[in-house]
Amino acid sequence: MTVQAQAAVPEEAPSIEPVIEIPEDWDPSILAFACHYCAFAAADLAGVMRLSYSHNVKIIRMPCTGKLDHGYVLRAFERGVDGLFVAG
Amino acid sequence: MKKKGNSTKRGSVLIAGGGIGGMQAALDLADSGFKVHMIQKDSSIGGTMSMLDKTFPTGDCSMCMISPKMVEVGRHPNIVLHTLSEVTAVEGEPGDFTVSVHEQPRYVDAEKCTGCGACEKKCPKLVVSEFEQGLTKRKAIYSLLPQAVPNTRVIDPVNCLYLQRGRCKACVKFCDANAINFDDTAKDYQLQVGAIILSPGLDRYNPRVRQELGFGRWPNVVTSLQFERILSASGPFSGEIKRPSDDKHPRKVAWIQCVGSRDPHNANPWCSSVCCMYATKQAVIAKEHDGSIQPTVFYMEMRAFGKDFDKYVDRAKTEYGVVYRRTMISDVKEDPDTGSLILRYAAEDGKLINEVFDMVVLSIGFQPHADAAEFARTFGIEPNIHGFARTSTLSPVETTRPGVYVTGTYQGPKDIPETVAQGSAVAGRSMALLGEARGTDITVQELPEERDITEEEPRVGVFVCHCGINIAQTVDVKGVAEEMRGYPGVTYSDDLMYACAPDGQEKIKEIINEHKLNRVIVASCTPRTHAPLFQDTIREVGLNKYLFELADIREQCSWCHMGQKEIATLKAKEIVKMNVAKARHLQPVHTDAVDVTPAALVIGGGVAGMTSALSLADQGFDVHIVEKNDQLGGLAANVYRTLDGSDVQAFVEEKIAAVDNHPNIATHLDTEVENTGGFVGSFKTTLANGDQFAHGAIVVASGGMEYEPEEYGYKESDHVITQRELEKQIAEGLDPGSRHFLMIQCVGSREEPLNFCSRICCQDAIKNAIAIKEKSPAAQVTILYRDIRTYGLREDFYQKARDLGVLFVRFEPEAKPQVDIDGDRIQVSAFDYVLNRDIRLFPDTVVLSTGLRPHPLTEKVGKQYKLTRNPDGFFLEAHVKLRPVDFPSEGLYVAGLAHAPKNLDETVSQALAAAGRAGVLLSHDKLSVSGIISKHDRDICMSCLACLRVCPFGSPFIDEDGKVSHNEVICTGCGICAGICPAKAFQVNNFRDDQIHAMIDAATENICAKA
Amino acid sequence: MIVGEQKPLEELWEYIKDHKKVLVFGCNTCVAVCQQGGNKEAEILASMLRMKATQEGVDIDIQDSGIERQCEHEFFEKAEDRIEWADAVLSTACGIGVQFMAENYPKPIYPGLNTTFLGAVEELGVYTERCQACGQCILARTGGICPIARCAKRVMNGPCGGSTNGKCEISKDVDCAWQLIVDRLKLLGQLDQYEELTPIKDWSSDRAGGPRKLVREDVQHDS
Repeated sequence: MTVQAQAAVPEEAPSIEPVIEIPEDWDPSILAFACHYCAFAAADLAGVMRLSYSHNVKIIRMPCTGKLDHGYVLRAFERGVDGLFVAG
Repeated sequence: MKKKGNSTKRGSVLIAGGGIGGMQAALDLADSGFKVHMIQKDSSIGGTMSMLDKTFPTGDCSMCMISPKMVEVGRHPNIVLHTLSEVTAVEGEPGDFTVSVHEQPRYVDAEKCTGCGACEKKCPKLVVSEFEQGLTKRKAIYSLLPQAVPNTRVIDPVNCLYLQRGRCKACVKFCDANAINFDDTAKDYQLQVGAIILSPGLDRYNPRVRQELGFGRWPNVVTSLQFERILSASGPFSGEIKRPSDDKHPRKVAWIQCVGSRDPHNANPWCSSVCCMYATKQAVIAKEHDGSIQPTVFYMEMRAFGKDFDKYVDRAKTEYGVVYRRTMISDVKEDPDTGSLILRYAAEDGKLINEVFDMVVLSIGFQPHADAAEFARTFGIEPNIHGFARTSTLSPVETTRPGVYVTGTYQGPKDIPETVAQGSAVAGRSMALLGEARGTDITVQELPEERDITEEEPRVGVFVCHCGINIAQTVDVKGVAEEMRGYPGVTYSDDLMYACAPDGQEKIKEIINEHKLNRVIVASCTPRTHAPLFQDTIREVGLNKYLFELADIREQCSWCHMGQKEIATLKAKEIVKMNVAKARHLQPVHTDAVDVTPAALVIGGGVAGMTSALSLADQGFDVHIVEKNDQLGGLAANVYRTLDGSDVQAFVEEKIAAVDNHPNIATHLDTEVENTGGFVGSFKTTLANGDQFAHGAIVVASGGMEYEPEEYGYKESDHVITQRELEKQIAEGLDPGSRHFLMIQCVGSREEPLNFCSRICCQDAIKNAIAIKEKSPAAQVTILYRDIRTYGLREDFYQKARDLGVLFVRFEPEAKPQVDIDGDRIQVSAFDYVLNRDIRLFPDTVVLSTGLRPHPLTEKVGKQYKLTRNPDGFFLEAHVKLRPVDFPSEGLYVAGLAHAPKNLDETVSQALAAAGRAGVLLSHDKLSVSGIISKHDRDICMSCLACLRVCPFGSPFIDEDGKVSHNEVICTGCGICAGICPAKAFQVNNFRDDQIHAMIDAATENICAKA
Repeated sequence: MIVGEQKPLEELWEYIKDHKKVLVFGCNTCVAVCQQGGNKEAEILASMLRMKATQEGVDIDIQDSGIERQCEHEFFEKAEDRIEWADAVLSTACGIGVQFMAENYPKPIYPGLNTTFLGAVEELGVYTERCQACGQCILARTGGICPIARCAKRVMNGPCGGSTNGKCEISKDVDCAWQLIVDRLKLLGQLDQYEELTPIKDWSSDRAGGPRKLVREDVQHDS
């Protein structure tokens, strides 16, 4: 996966993301890709333990984070999510 | 009755008791083709575990684990539940028993009852709730617990106004289903079964007897089981920790240990085995619920003997600030002004202290049911002196009556995983007894043909579950259902009280038929535990089970956004939309089946390996034992007696002879596994000596090692020996004379880097100490210890050792005993906490209680089969509580010391359990391939080999045509191939790109709308 | 197999930024195997360019599509509508595909890749050059190792003076092709071939003779 990722974004590519000031009331939208067996279970455990975390995290269950696809990451960013959390 | 061959044995098993042990046995037996009659005294199955909030040491939610199992038992086609029932007589022989059953009337027709609960709401009679331990009330018509199985209410005739006084019938008026039947009568009938399993569970000590502790007198003194209910989200206080007297949140909470246990004068002499750990768990969970709580545990001895238990207690101390005080509480008094409690105890320096606590929890112990003697008589088995079923260390699940087996706490106090393991063990024993009758008493479940939905437009049904109040108190459940009604593809959307309850599932089935739904979403808890249940539900009405998605709005929404109703509701809507979006793209998945080779490989020829092998061979399967040494026997070859005096050498010899003589067992000595190919059901193994064989299952019983000590001068002096060496000397006729034996415990155990209890050493020390004192009362034995961990019924022997005059001196790891050797003169210095000063002892022999280590083979086997190990090097089971002998990889099972240190009886139980679990697998002719696998489209594949290079399981391969093909049987559905494939020729069922894209789009719907 | 490497995003952006409708067009054979220009990579690239456009505040409609091979006419039919729609195409095929497409569509067809070489897949993500398509294969005499593709100087009769310890003077990481050839001939017991002088190579079959063409009349189909 890393090989492919590097190939898609050549190392010498200039930083294409201009730094933006973060507004104070910013409510970032975060999408998590979580492995069914571990990270998704951990998210369940967080609930079982009544751990509170930010509401703007939504989880998409993966059979394994190996299932992650460039397409998913890019689609999510294109559609405006502010951060992706890949956990597995 | 139709029989296979000319067997006279029955293909049915009776299980008396529907707790977790009985349920495990029932499912194993039922899954392998036996009919199971489960007799349960209560109106629901579930037992003690269903009352618990969380479980140690993982903190997993107890109900979340047991509820799916209960439902599985309730819906299993091969299991017949007989609730409100008791066995009255047993006649016959092993293989063919006739059991008489007496069933109390339920007064509610289970066929008609929808479980809606309207009757309960209208019933005017309030009764103290037994399930809630008297902390709240129930009605005269009620269900034992919200997740009851069967989920049919029951009328308590003693408290029913109509049955007692002839008027009321409110329930009849409000029951739309006409399910109330006051004409119901008790029934007596007989069942024909081949084997009987006793799993009646336990009773608890009544702490009122110990008046000085104030239970029943001071309202803020509660039992540990009451505290479980207080902690429970579904309990009387919804998980909020409050004092019963004034609903105030307690700050200082005390746990008093050993209430009713280890007390031959006022209570029971045995140790209840679990209280140290459950008190630790309760303290930790209480602290998690309310960070301001300050827990203190008053205890005699910290018996954290199980796998990863010591680490859990350490974490409780260091991370949660739980205070442990090693002292007995002499009395508890109430401060009448505050309702708080004053505990009186002696500090370490002997000073008496009064400390005030807001609340006190009594860690009450286990005891057999009050009717245990009668129960034993009914089944024709002998109880032991304490009223538990009599078993022996070397055959821990066999009662005195052949064909009658025992599991769980009726065999002796134990925790959940050991109960579950014994559940599988008795299932294995029953399978071995009834082997050839397998499949003769069952009927195959007939499922309706699957509806072909491929041409249909998506018609999604959404069921939003309240989960009682678990979801509904935080999420506006009706609002979520309402919102989904207009969502694209949604045909039906509504809320349900408990989607997983039988009535909820019936409702789902009805709605599917009524609205011709072709995709189903349940918005409730986690798919990890509950998806299979609903998948079966929709399959029962002809929908392919992969047309289902579970939207997790409990664990991942209501529980982590408590008190934020608006936000949680919004998020729940988004979660449900994401799943509906995915569901629109769901396609039916059809799974293949592969042949199962009815043979097992057992790695390791010790007691665990031989026991598993014999059980599997008796079940009718071929077994290959692979033993690295040139003889069978393993570590037990150096053990002579068990704590209760059983002859281990004779036992091992008997096992070896049985293995050698068994026609189904092939023993491969002096060799190791070279490699194993294939997959669950169809492995092929090559040994280092060239032998090759096929098999369907693998039992890993690679054993452990004894620690060879470096400390206390072991290497320097012949007067310093290990317990094992002493045991040998005793067996060879050692005359202790008047010599002084000083034993040091925890040598090489319970310390970093190997911070685990070796579990056997306390028993070994006491066993040898008793042997010495019995042979020569003039001999002196001193045991230097940290905690004496003679858990369960082993406590009798601790008592016996003390009675024989063995001295016990405690030490702390910070101030270990100092052994100075000068030729034949040995001086041992230690600090005595009772005398509160340094002492010096001059023993003739120092005996080191050395612990256990994982066998070096563990690492190799772990790598060979990709099995994970815990930080101490022992194999990690699939689930600490409910899958104690399974590995996460299908078809592999663990037994014995390879899993964790344990005593011989526990090894035997676990080995039988592994054989039971493997037997379930091997009993199938065919094994269905999982549905969640990667599907390969050979038409668009360009055979670039990226998949073949990245797959960790080797499922893509170059086929006969020289192109890439895919072996779906070993595919785990991880989807790495799908991620790397440049041609997108791989798609994982139910995680297809179109499905995930739809989820991403739905998840970002709001952002896109804003932009 | 033809190996290519995606051009830097900035460069691609410069090509397309003034167009309104851009199609990123994949070629799902050679350059898909090296995971640079297949249909999946076209999809990824299109997405990245869309985000670039958003960041730059430029309104461009960027779509993606692709076909099996951009070096054959018939495959294009499937994507005719998409190509028609675009006012410029960014082709992630090799140079052959880009040109072939450009010949057929009167609109800018930009290259998404630098076509790098004809190579092998050593392992996933590692591609190495093996052949220069010189048109006169001499592998039979060089033990199956090509001095034209693998010697920096393309010398034909043994190593140059820059060969040290089996490595080429251009880099310690590059094997000297002639060292490999000699080792291989030794292994095959054909060292006598090494003694034979190779005459000056006729480069007319290479690029030096102008663009090459092969006609197979026997399989040609009269239309």
